[in-house]
Amino acid sequence: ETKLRLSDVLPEGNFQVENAKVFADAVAKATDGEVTITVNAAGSLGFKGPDQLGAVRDGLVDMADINISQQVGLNPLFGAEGVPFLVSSMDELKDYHAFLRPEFEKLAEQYNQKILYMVPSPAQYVYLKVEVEDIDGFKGIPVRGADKNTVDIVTAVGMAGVVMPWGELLPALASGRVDGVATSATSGVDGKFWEFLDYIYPTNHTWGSNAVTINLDTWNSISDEDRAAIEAVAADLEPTFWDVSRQGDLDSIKTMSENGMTLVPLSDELLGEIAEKAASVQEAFFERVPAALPIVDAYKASK
Amino acid sequence: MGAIVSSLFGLLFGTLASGAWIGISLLTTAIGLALLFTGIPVDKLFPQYVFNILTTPDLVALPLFILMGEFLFRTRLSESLFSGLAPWAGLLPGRLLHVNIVGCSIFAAISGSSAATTQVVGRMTLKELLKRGYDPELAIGGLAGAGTLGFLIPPSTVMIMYGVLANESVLRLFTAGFIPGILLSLTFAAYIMIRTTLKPSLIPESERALRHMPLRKRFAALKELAPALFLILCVLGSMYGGLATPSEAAALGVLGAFLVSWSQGSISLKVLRDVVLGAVQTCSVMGIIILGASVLGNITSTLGIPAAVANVVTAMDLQPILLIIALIALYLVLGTVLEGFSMIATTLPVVLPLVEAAGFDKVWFGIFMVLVVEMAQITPPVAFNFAVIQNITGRSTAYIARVTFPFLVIMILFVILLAMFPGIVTFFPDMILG
Amino acid sequence: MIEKFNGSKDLHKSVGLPAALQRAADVVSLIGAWIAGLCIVALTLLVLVDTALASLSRILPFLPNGTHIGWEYSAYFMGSAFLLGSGMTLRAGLQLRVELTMSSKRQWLTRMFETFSSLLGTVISTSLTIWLFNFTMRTYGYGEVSDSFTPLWIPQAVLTLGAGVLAFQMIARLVTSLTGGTVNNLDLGAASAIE
Ligand code: NA
Ligand code: NA
Repeated sequence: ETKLRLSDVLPEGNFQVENAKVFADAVAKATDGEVTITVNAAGSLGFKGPDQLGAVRDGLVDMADINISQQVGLNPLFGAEGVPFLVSSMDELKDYHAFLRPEFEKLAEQYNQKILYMVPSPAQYVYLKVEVEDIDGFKGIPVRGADKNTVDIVTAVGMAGVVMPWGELLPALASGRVDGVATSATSGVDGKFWEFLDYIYPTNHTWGSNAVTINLDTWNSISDEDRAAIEAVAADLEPTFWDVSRQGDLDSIKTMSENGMTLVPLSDELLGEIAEKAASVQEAFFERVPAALPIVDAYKASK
Repeated sequence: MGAIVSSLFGLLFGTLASGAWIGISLLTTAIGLALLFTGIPVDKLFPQYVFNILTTPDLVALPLFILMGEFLFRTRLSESLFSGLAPWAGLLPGRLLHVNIVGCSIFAAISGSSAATTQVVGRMTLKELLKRGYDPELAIGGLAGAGTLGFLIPPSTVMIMYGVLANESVLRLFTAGFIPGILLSLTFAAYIMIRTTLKPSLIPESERALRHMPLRKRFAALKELAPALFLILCVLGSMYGGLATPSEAAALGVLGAFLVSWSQGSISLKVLRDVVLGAVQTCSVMGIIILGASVLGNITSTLGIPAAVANVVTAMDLQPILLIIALIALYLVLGTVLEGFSMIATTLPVVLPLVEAAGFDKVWFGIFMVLVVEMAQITPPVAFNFAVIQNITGRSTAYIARVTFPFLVIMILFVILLAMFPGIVTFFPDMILG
Repeated sequence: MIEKFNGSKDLHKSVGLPAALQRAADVVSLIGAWIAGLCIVALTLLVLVDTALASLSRILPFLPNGTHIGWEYSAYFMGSAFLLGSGMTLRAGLQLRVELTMSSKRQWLTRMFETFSSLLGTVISTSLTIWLFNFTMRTYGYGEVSDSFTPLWIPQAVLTLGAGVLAFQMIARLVTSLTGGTVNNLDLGAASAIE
């Protein structure tokens, strides 16, 4: 009997954590209880987002639900999914993954682990207090982003991006220290953004996925039969998990609308202006992550 | 699980009892459990833990509040608090005894620590009250009781530590401290009024004259409170005015405290040296304890202890109020020998899941922990606020313990009240922060 | 928060190797404490600069709205201060322990407890120092950087140094305790406010 621990830094109740629990139950069933996985949420095992990959590599934990783009500190290629303004829907993301995922799988192996499944975070939006007609409207608005990539992107579009921990965000919004946020719709509901913000812009400025990985030494110690069963469960559940993410997005937008927020579709003019900026943002991105260029080129050629 | 839990308690209490430093004892327990019950390579696990815990951004407010406390210690705040409050306290039954209570409440809104509150307020008030012939028992007991408000009224180093260990917002905890803090200080004041009304001889006859003072003079005295109000503005004002996050408010507090002591001419090279080295000492004391507690928390999670304990307690189906009374008893006992921070550090990994399983809110339990830590400050033999008062008055621990006892009883009843009506704690942060 | 105990103002005039070791540890601990002090000052200034920029940049748009490294670096300074000051704090007799056992009237008992806890402290702090050193070397080898592209080995190396200072002071304390010297030197460091 193999008992595995899975580390997740996301809080209880987050859909990625719920997915991981569904996966754990399915694995226990598929292996007749031979392999059991305990999901430890909210970083309770002591790891932070950026060191989850290293923790699995060194065998400090058997499995982890890893935010891939947070691993750029180990290898810039982990940032390849976050190319600004490249992908505009989850279906396009699926196509992009056809090129990206083999690269990530190779990369994961270098770090002594195997990717079992990957699930994207829902689409990204910018939430503001004001209605914006053209790109000048974004100018100078202090907007919070969770990481450097997001902050760089919103800054390039003209906003004043600030990196700020989630815990500081709500007081900062309440006091008007920031007047906007760039994040997913599910996070928007978590933070009850309608108490502070009014307009939702579907900017799709970037995408990012989590990968559930397992340490290779641990993996190899599991019987062939059970490994096959686990792989089958992962392959079987992954599309469902993508649907959970997509549904989470739809439900959250609905919740925010019901609470008085307005989803503002980007006008063609605004989209054009953003696309103009996007070129230079992408250029800066590829300067930082040159290894992403061939993957993106292959994806673009396929379209 | 039985072997794991008995090893946990064996290692922890064994090392504590043999005189090991709290932080070392917690680390030993964590490393021991990891070696015995997990196959994880400890040589790689623990340095990662050390790095993660010691560089947690949410903890940055702690060294800042400590540094501010070192500056405040060297200002003349105690004198100005007394002369600003005395003309008004004189109107109430109990007269200047209320300066202790109100002074501590005001200073608590500046400082994060209860020993510092007792120290700074008591330095001036006790000398003055005893000179004027007030009953020493009520004067000293009142100070010891009210001094503990330093932890309950924000800012609070205990809340910062609890917030980090329990993964709860520090701002929410701060906000939750206001109402209970004010209620508790009103209760202390009410007790003093009742006692002195029942037995007027506790107040010297001559103090009745305090009722008669020109209003102009009363208002003129208020300007003495300016430095204290300025510091409250720096810390709480900047935080709730939206200019600063809790850590930034603490940094503004340091700047404000520096400016106040500078304007009073209290700054010299020697003072700056003492301020910085004093802050270093307090920081490393707390840093090592937090490190040990967090590491042990991580390992107990890895071993599934909190979940197991929570399951057991949930199965017992204990009445929540009984659980809380049991916990008060537990912490009263622990608090006699353990200092507050160590008490939180050593128990939280096991107790928090248990309390959550019983349906209590994490913020509510944070306030509960703050109150039991306050009690630990005034229960001998290890009672930090007593050490402070002993230093000021030269009275014995036994005497101070006896005169503080009524205030301790008030605090215990107050906690039970909060357990019966948890809304007293939670409604205010819910209202302010959503 | 802090209470001084179990120490003597007039240290025994101890001589020989143990005394030299203890003096060396004291010098290193004091240097560590001063660097820790600088870290605390630096983190205060960093947080103040970030606070000022956040407010000022709304009035003066040409100013950046923050240092963008404030959160990260102030935390590095904090961790460094925690560990670098711990050697001096230990020597000054301020690190917390359950004092009942240490306040026994029987001197041989007190000394036995002291020796045991110094031994335990030595084992733990030395192990941590070695583990942190190897951890730092691995991070250096992998070239790991933070979100702000700061090489992570740098703050890790400072933490290693801090753990090393504590380990050195623990070893000196163990030797001092075994050879009957005075373990606490209350004069080291500051006449601290009671926090
Ligand atoms: Na306070
Ligand atoms: Na006590």
